[in-house]
Amino acid sequence: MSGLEDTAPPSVPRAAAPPRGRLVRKYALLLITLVGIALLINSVSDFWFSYQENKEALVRVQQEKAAAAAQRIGEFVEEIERQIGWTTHAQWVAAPLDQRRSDYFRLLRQVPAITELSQLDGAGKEQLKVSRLAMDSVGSEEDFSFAPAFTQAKAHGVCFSPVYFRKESEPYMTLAITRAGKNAGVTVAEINLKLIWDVINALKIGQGGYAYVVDEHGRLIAHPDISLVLRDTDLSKLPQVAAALAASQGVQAAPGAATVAKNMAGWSVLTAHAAISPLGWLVFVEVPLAEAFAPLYGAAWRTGSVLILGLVGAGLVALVLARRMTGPIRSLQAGAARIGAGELDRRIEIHTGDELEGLAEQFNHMAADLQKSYAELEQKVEERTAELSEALDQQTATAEVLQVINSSPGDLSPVFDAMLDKALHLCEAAFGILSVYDGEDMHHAVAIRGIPAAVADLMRGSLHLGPETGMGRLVRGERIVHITDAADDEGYRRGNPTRRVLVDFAGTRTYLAVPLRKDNVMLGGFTIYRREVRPFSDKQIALLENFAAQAVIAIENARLLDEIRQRQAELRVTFDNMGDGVAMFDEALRLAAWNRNFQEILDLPDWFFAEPRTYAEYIRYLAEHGEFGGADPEEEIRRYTDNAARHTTVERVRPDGRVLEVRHNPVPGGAFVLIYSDITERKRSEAEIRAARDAAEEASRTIEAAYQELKAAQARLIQAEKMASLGQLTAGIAHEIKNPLNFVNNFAALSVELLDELKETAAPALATLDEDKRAGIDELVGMLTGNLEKIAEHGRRADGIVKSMLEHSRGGSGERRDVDLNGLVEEALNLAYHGARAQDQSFNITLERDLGAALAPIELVPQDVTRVLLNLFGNGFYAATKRQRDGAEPDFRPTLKVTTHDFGEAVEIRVRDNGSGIAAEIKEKLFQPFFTTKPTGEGTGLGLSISYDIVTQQHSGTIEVDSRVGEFTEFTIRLPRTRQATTTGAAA
Amino acid sequence: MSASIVVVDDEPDVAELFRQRFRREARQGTYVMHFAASGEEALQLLSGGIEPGVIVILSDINMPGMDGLQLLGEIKERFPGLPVMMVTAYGDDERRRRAGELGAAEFLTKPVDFDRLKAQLRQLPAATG
Repeated sequence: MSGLEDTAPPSVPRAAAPPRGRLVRKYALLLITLVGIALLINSVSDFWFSYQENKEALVRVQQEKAAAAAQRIGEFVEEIERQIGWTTHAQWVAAPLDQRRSDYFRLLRQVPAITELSQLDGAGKEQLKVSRLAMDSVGSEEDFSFAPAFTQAKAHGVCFSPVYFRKESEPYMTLAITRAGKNAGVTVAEINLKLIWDVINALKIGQGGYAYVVDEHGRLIAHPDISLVLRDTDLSKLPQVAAALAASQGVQAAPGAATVAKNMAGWSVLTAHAAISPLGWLVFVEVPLAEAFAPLYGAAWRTGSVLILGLVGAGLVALVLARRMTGPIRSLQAGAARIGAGELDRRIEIHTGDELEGLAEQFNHMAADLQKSYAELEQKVEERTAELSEALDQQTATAEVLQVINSSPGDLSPVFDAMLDKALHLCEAAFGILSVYDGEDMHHAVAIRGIPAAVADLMRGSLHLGPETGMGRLVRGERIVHITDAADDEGYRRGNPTRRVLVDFAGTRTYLAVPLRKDNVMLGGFTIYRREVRPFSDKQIALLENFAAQAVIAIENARLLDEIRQRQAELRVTFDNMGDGVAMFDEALRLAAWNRNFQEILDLPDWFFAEPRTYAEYIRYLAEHGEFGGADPEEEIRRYTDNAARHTTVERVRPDGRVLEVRHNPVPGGAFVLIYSDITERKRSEAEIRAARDAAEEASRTIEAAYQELKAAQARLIQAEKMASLGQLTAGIAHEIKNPLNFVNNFAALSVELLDELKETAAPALATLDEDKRAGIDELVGMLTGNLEKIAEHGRRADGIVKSMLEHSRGGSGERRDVDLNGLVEEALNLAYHGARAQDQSFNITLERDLGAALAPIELVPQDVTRVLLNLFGNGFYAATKRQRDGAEPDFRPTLKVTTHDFGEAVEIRVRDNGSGIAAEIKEKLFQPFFTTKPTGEGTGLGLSISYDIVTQQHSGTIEVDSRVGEFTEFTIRLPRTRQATTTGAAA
Repeated sequence: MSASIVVVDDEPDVAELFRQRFRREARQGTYVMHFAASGEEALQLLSGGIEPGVIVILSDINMPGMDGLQLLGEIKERFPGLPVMMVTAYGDDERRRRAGELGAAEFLTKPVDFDRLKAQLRQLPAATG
């Protein structure tokens, strides 16, 4: 609830003016509210209760009035009832007519309401009627037995008929009374109910109050507005009516409480009712609500105005009070604001004698304290500022020195000068020297300030500074040398010349020396001097040490820079003198570095390097100058970017014919290096080497081939020798066997001849012999002959074998020469054919030839190949004719087909017969020596074996057999052409 | 008129064979058969003079001692007009050639085709001394 906006320190300006008067408003509102509420409650409750009371009073009045009216009407009706009643007595009924009539007249007079009286007997017949309005009638015997009045009266003793109207305006009711008794008659009276109307009319309540009567069905019987009655208005729907009816039916004749309801016309009314007991009718007394509560309104107004007046009064009072309450608080607020603004000398004045006053005092104390604190703070701040500015000076000095170091990285003299300047200034020294240590106690000054020229010159030279001097002591490891009074020091007393000079000539008193050390290596020293005896402060010593450290850094930097420069120069020389052209492109693909050879190898002009070049520009330049031949430079660039991260090596021929090797080496980070090497010479040597190697290979191949041939020839030779020796052996054997065989044959043949001669010679002698003996001798001679023939035959066989063997061994005797193969084949075929025909006249076979055209001559041994062909042809003839002989189909024609074909590196000869074919198991043995399928005596079995040897061994060819049993046999010979290229194509 | 035929062969059965083969001729007296078992013997025989006159020498080649070809040479030297036919089992071309060179009138391989031989003999000129 404070009026202060924030709690910020006094120096912070407040954002907005503090809200004014909020407190006052709050209090005022509070008070007003309280008073207002009280008044309100009071008034409202007052009003409410009076309203209720009023209502009740009114209702009571209404109630009474209703009850009174009901009673009157009830009494009226009862009176009539009573009056009539005595006419129902049995005695009266028995009375003579005149009596009765006069009684009736009297009754009529007495009771003006009755307009008609009639007596009905027990059967309902009218006996007597006296009427004010109509004609009297006596003894009419009119039957009213069915009239409701009669029946009801008989049933209940009394009957009140519903109200009806005569003359449109007058309410009537029929009252019928009877006595108990079987035949008791009924007296029926017509009652004029005008009285009720009067009663009702007379009922007056207030201005607009009225009464009305409804019957037991809710129909309006009496109302101030007669027209409503005449219209037979049914009010049973009105809630109050309905409720009253219900109640009355439930409970007899209890006067209902008044309620608020709406009347027929729809106004709100206060309604009360009472029941008219005998009839069951209801009297309603209603007063318009507005009127009913009219008095209340006055009260309300009064209450309201009182309320308002009260509120206003309360408000005023509240304001005043609030103001008075918040006065001190506002003072406090103002006071605090002042304190916040910094006006610490003003005090808050509150003399309310309560807690607020106490609070004000507290504020005042606080202000006083703050004042004091500020004063102290200011003082402290001043002190600090002084210190800080001093430190700042030093830092600035250091920074400036560093800047000097940075701006002249290699040049140390400005650095040292600046440093010395600043040091002297900041340390309040008169003069100073920065010297460099040359080793072995020799120093020379590199910066001097403030010293008389003569001494300065002395210092610049190389001086020996011994152990008593400051520098000497530093060299020996002391951290710093701080001499308060140089004149009063060992060095001086000992008479060190440098010291003496400094003191006597330069007036040195206080002296500070700080070393320049790098990693415990003495580099030099910083010395500053004062002409008065005033020791240097720790801060100043620290400053000087700082400068010393910086000087060391500067020296180190200069040294490093020097090294770098030197290294750089060396690298440059190396780079430039590299044999290859080198170019480096950085991550942005700009040409960053290159050497002279790069420029020369690629013929790049100087102006090309005048501007920064990108890789794309470089490639484009090269392309424009025909470096890539017809290739697309964009393609080249794209190829590069695709392979950017890969080491690639390509070779390229320059327009001038030199061959370049371009190596692309990527560097981490996206840069890459191109290295161009002129490999023209290398290429040439490579080509030469390749040629030499090719020649060597060729030679070796030739040698290899020759070697192979030699080996083959050797094999053949060995084979031939083998065969020769075998041949010789077999020849020898053959020859040796031949001789005895000859004899066998010859002698066998001779013997046969001789036997014949004997038979001839002995014939006459034999003729003389008797049959038996002659037959016997004939037989013997016959057997002898047969035997001898057999011997001859076998001898011939053996001879044949020997001949074949001799032939076999004779292989390889022929010379090789180029032969027209087709011609050879023709010749052999003819030979075979005619030979076969010569042996067997009936021999016949169909010959088919399919000789390849233009079959170039092939080198072979014609006799031996002919032998092979003859062999094959012979076998073919035999097989084909055998099939015919063995009973082939009638239209079977033995056929032999010869085919030759040139396959370039070989020729092929096929011999096909349509004989019975060769079974698989026989095929295997086909080429074995002495294997034959011919019957004994017909073949030696050596033919194919010899052929096989001739083809494979002698001619390095192949011979194969293909056959299908019952269909054909085909031999295929392949003879390779000679290997040596020089002999092919030679004219035969 | 009869003539002599000298058969030179170291195999004795050859003599028998020729005798049987030429039995008719012998009976008829067409030819007289003389047999030598070696080249030397044949030369001796020839040198000693044979009656009737020799019309042909039939010599084997493979004989121990002086072989047929040597004999051929000798005969051609000593008896130039005397036809010599080589009758041998070894029918190889080399021997045939040499025989031809040395002047053999014929080169027959065993077994001898006696009919042909006889036909050839009939072609020969009459015997000389």
